[in-house]
Amino acid sequence: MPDWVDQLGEELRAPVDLSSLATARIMAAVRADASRRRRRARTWQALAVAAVVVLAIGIAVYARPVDGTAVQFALPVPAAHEVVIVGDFNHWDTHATPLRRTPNGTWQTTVRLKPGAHVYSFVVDGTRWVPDPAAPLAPGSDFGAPNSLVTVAPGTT
Amino acid sequence: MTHDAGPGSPPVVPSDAETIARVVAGDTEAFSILVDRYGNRAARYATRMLGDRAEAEEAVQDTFVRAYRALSRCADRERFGHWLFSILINRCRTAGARSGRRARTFVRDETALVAAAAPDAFDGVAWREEIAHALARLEMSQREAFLLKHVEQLSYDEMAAITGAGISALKMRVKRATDQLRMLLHEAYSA
Repeated sequence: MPDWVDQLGEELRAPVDLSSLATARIMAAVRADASRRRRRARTWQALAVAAVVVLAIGIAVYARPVDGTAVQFALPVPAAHEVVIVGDFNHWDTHATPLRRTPNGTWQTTVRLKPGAHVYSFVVDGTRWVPDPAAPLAPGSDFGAPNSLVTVAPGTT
Repeated sequence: MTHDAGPGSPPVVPSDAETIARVVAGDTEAFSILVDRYGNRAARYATRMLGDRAEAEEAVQDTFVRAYRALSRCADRERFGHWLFSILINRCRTAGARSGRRARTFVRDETALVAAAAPDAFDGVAWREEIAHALARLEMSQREAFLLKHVEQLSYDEMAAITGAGISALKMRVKRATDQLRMLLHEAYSA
């Protein structure tokens, strides 16, 4: 290698110091970038936690085992406009459990009941209380509108 | 930045890999160790390459910030310097291409300009300016190869790894750069 190239290299190797201003700017940019990253990470973390909470709530609401035994109720009244079922299981609320009319004119619904005896009745068109023709009458029905009785055995689903 | 091993013991300087591990783990301030370690060398390369001190500092700043952002992707942490240089080289190529249309300016070296006030220092300053002028007239790829070989004193293998160019191509660029510089500086010296 020619000597003059070595001398040239040596000349060009003379130090060039990075100014303290440039160093400060680099570190300021780095700190700002780190701060942005931390904020972004916290946001994603919060979103992830929120997603887990929403998922957990969804699972709790929709995936928990359904309480009670499914019992189907039906009343053949083709001319009725509205049929509901009321009983101790829905606090005798005439809006809680409406029945659906099937094509053959029978109104029906399914209610989940806990094991034990339940007293109930149908209410036709808002005024007419009708006992279930397929179920025994509840004791004490003689003293007012007749109610029906359904008994759910323990351990049935 | 150093930390002491104990009373009377020499300070223990963290390696690049140790420093990077700290930065990646969240110790942002540890990055200043790398800036202190490589900043001047990067500034020298960028200044020689771009021929403009302000532009060079901007390139170096940008290089370090890019390196910080990509630090977790630095595959060989013990060779951080080479990785940083590969970023710097690309950054200088971009800056060089952008300013290529502009007339090349001489390096503004304030220390040298002050020193030039002394009569015996004038020749040295003039000579450095001739060198800067000659470097500026080289093709960018030749200037890059020459600086990496004769200023940064890298091997051709290291140059190839950093630049992505083949060894034979790099040798050719260094040779052409050397010939060109010899001619330009001879002209300047003879004038």
